[in-house]
Amino acid sequence: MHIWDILGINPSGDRSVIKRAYAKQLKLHHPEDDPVGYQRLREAYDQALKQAKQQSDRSVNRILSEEEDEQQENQRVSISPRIVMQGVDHQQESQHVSVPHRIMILQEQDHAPHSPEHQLNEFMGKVNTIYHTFITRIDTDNWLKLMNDDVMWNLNLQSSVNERMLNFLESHPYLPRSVWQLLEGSFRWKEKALADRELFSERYPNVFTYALEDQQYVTSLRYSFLADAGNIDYDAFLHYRVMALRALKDHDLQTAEDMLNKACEVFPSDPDLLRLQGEFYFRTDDLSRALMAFDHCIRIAPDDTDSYFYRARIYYKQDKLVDAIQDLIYLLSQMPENLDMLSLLGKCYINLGQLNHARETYNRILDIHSNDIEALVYLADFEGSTIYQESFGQSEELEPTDELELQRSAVPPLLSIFAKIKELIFQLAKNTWLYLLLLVADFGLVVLVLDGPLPDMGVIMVTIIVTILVLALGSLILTIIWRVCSVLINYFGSK
Amino acid sequence: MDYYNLEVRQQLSLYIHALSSFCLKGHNPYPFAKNMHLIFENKSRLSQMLDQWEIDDSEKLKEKLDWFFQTGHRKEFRDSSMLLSGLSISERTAFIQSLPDGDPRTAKLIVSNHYFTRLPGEGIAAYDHSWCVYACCAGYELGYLTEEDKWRMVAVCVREARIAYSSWKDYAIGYAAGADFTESSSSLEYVNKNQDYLIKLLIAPDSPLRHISLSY
Repeated sequence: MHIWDILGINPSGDRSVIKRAYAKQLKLHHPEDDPVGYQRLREAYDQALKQAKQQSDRSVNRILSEEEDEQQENQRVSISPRIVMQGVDHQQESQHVSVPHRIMILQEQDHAPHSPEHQLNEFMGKVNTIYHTFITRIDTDNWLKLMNDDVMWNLNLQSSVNERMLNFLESHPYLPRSVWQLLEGSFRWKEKALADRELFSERYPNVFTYALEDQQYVTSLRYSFLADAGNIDYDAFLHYRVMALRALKDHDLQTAEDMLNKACEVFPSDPDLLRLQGEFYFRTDDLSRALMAFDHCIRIAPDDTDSYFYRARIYYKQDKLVDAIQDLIYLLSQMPENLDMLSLLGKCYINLGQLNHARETYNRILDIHSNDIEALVYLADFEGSTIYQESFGQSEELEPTDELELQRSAVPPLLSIFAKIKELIFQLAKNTWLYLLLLVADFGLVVLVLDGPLPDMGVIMVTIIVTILVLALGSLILTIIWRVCSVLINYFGSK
Repeated sequence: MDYYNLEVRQQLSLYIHALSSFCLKGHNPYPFAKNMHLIFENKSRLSQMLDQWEIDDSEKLKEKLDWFFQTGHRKEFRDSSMLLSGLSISERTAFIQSLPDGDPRTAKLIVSNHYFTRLPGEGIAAYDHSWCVYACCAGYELGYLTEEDKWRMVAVCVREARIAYSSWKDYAIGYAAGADFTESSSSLEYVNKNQDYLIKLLIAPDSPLRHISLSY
């Protein structure tokens, strides 16, 4: 059966037509339900694409055929490795139809015998080809097809394929997230890295980052806008761009600036690069340059919400509040529940003195997030004592006509009493004039009692001693009272 | 700031009262907020608080205070914000959701993302300043700091707080964000439980915040 009959189409050099035909036939020949039919369909699909590619890209086919020619000198015809597939080996060997068909196809294409090494090289050739043409690189379908290649089903080659792919991707990691996810799903590096994560990360740091550790972060930058970039050094650009992202993450502004400039030299009109540039200028407070970056980004990608929000933030800092509000209103029409945008809008209204609008905005925040502290604080500030009344009830005094009374009533009664006692003792203790007065009074008393002009030394000494004893006893009593009050305050306070 | 000057010390005392009042929480802490001296006289409570930080001598206290000054929780918050700021709006949430279950970064990133552009430049520094002042006063009461050290450190805290925040509103928001961030509360539990107290601190006529202004 001819390949075009299997695919159900007329001979065509259009790859998309071939793909659609394959997809349509795949529904009829599912690998699990109809392994023979599926095998036949796969072969036909591969051959059809090959022919289409030969027609459209002679230079690429020259590389492939050169590789094939080198391998042909050492090749022997070997059928069994190609037909070894998971779960279908026994069926393949009993199918006389499929084996001659395979040989016939090989003869038609004048292919060299397919040794494992040849298959592997052929496979890696395809990887290389897909990667080095940017449009094909960012098309997940190409990689999906590659993951369905025979080599991927060959158990004997799995280890070699895995290693070759790891080595290739280690030096060519600049792929969109969807491709990395597809590759990780096919090769299952996460499971393999479980055995020795550290070793894997040391041997393949880029694959580790892009496929395992930090995939969501490093692949957050888009590739689609580069499709029209023309003849640029894509890998250089992508390298500088992701390095800029990482430098900004680490707040390494010098490296960030360097990488951003280098990326810009290669291709200055990528929205994600412009966003990173704008972020850099925003952080370094170079608002005019930041604004230029985001304006440029909006011209390229008019739907880019990040650029509008950054612009609104810049306008707010520059006190161009009306412009900021305009951008924010547009943004909130797209993302009505974004708290950052609502918050900034509220601040703009406050600065403009439009408190009603500000109040509305903060109430919108509370509708989305009922315990938002910023909204609660600002609304409380607007409402002042009204909020105070509503939230905390009429039992609280609102206008302290007697501040002392208010303070007393606010503190638990027992604590208040002990605190007062302590305060009194403190006041007594710190007034040293009291002790001097006591001493003078003692002398005066002694003089009066003895009724003489001057007491003798003995009397003076006694007087001093008595005074000291009285003072000491008094201090002791006061200290005891002080301590008791402290203990009681601690006890009731901790309750 | 000449913290040897009596008038300056009186002013600093008002700042101590205001800044440390944010550290209270629980059921009806407002009466104590108005009478912080009751808190600072409760040596056992002060000791318990320092024990949570494993501080039981002067040297450890000074290390902790130095950390508050140089680094604080604000650095980690800033790092989280830097990480998120490189991502687009749509990628930020996706990135947080992509983190594996049990990843210790998740809760803090959720809090950072919630307050992403809404805090002033110093972020959650309010949380560091309040706890630094509280620790200074607690340390002094427990004999770990001299009076001079206490006033010196409080003066520095107050100066930094006034540079970072222009109003008590912004300070309160920064503090609340810091509380939820340090407690890794992705559901913003601190705010849920203490919002009434924070609002009361801000608007009550007899609040300690009414006695002193943050702005210059």
